[in-house]
Amino acid sequence: MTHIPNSVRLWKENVNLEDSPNEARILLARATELIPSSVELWLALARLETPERAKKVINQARKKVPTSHEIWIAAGRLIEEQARLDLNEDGTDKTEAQRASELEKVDQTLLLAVPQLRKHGAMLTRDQWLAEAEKCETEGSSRTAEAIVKATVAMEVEEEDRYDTWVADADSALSRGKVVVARSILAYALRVLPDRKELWRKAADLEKAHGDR
Amino acid sequence: MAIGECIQTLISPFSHPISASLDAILSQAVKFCPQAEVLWLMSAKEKWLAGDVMAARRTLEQAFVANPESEAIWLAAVKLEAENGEMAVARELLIRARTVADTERVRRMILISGKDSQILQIWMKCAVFERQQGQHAQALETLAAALQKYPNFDKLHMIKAQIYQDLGQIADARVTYTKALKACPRSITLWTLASRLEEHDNKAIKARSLLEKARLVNPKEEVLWAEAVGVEERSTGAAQAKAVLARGWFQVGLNKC
Repeated sequence: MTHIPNSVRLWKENVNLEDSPNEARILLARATELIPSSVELWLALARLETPERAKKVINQARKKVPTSHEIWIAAGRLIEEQARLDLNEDGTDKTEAQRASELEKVDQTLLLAVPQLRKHGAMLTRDQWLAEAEKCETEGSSRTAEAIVKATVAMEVEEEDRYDTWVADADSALSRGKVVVARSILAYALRVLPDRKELWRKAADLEKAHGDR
Repeated sequence: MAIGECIQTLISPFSHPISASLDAILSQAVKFCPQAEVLWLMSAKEKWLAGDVMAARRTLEQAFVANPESEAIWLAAVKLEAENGEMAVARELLIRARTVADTERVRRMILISGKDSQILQIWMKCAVFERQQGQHAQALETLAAALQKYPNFDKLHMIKAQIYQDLGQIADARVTYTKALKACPRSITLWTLASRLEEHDNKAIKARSLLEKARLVNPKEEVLWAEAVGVEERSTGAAQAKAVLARGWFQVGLNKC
């Protein structure tokens, strides 16, 4: 480690060997200082921190690696995870209103991510974003998946192609079993094109097949 | 299971309630696309399937307000009432139907395919139900209303004549068949039933002449010959019956060549 302090691989091996989460965290904190450009190390550190400190880690990471969409998505997922807890940080019960307003911050985070990444020339394509959304759904972060769709599904789409594109996107997500992403795409499409009855029909069919009981 | 729940299960065979998200989508859908019949129908159907007939009824009422000329919504409402045993309401809806287009369509359907449409089936269901309940006057009224819209539908005439026969009003039954045969001269069953009525009233001569007329209009129908053979067998005896049978063989055979 002393000879090659910039090897991400070595740091990771080292952390893996560590049994105590506390020690691992200290190692990772040091690692991110030495290699601030490693998204992998930042995310590993954030996962080990308490929610409140994880937020700080993510914010730092964002500054150090402004071209990383992974960090923005991790930020969204972290906020979502916290919003879904039963208790607030001060130990009081979380009300539904509180939860709702916290979940809205997930949307805001992803909405902020898009211009920031564009500014740093690290913008993903629409299809890449949708793939990221599906990944979030797979990993259980459904609100982050929804937020990604909301922030990116309208990009790169000509006005006259919107209907066909969105229907195709929703169908393709659904064919892979990604109900949350498909639902979010349809919900967005319906906000823009509320007079298309076929869209409503599609959304209703989706709820019929996968809606809550 | 508590008794109350048992009864609930009996009343509503559909156990699952409508999903909240589906319900939400559909109510939004009809708000934004009130002219989309398919969305209204889906919304009503889902409620019905969930066992909530009242909600389904309300939805169809709102659908009517948005689409007063919709045949599909009207038919759905009639079906909903008929299948839930609300024959009186179904009947009201049938009688009040303003959908001229539908009447025309059903008429054409009967003429072309001879099949009963769903609407006609419900008309018949109403009349048969009233007849079974012993509400003969009501059933006759229903049939009169139905026949006004669909005079060429033979089954309606048949039910009407049979009600008169139930009541022992043979003269009225006879008038019914006479009118019916003018409207539907190609209905073999109608000719046969008219002939049976005369036979039943010991008027074999009338039965015979009816079947002769029937054969003039429908010369290729074996059933009419068979019925004529039966009439002779029951009235004048085997010899006459055989003669008719022979004529029948000849005639039908000729037609088939």
